Amino acid sequence: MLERLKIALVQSYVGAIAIGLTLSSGISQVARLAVNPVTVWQQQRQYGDNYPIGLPRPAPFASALPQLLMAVLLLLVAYGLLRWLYYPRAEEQDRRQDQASEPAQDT
Amino acid sequence: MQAPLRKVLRDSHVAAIAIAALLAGSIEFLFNALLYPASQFLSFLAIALATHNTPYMPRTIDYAAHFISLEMPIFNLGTALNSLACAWLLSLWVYGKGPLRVLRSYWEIIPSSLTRGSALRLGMNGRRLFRN
Repeated sequence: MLERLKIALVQSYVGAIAIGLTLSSGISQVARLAVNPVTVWQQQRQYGDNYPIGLPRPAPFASALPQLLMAVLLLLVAYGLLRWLYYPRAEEQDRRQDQASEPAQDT
Repeated sequence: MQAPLRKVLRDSHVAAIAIAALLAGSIEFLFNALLYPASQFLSFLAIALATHNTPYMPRTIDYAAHFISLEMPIFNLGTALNSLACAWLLSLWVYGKGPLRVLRSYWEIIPSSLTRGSALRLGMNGRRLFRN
């Protein structure tokens, strides 16, 4: 059952498209994470004067934590799917190449 | 031997799809960044042409107008540049060339494989490989 699903996902390119979109989302999250300190600085500069007195200020990188978790999750899902769908294929290709090169070496 | 990640990304066409998605996101954010300034400019021009006079411009700017007219376009422009840089880096890492060249090479492959009447022949034959 799972093998048939895997074949269908690979042959219909649905798997590749899903992994590609997940990977691009993960990469975008990482890029936004890199820009996060600038955004936080800009917001603090803008709202710093209006911040309620007595309220504890959030840690500098507290706002980056959800983005970090999301980025890690997306990249892990993409890698897991890639490994499940395409790594057996790649290993098979390597084995074929080895088999093809062996007779050439014998002769 | 375990196939390297780069090779798997290239052979499975996942990298090309990710590059295309990142470029599409970049174009979308660029469009969003230019939409409001362009509409304001066109509105200014239309009013000036209709009234044959300089349109009214407030001397002070409130927070909402500041956010919509300045911060959002800059944020969208930054995100667009981010996506473009990510697409470029991914493309260079996986294929060793720029994203447009990669997508152009796919553009040359896909129509020819579609006209052959079969599924996309991009080097993928999952059924045969998985059955072995």
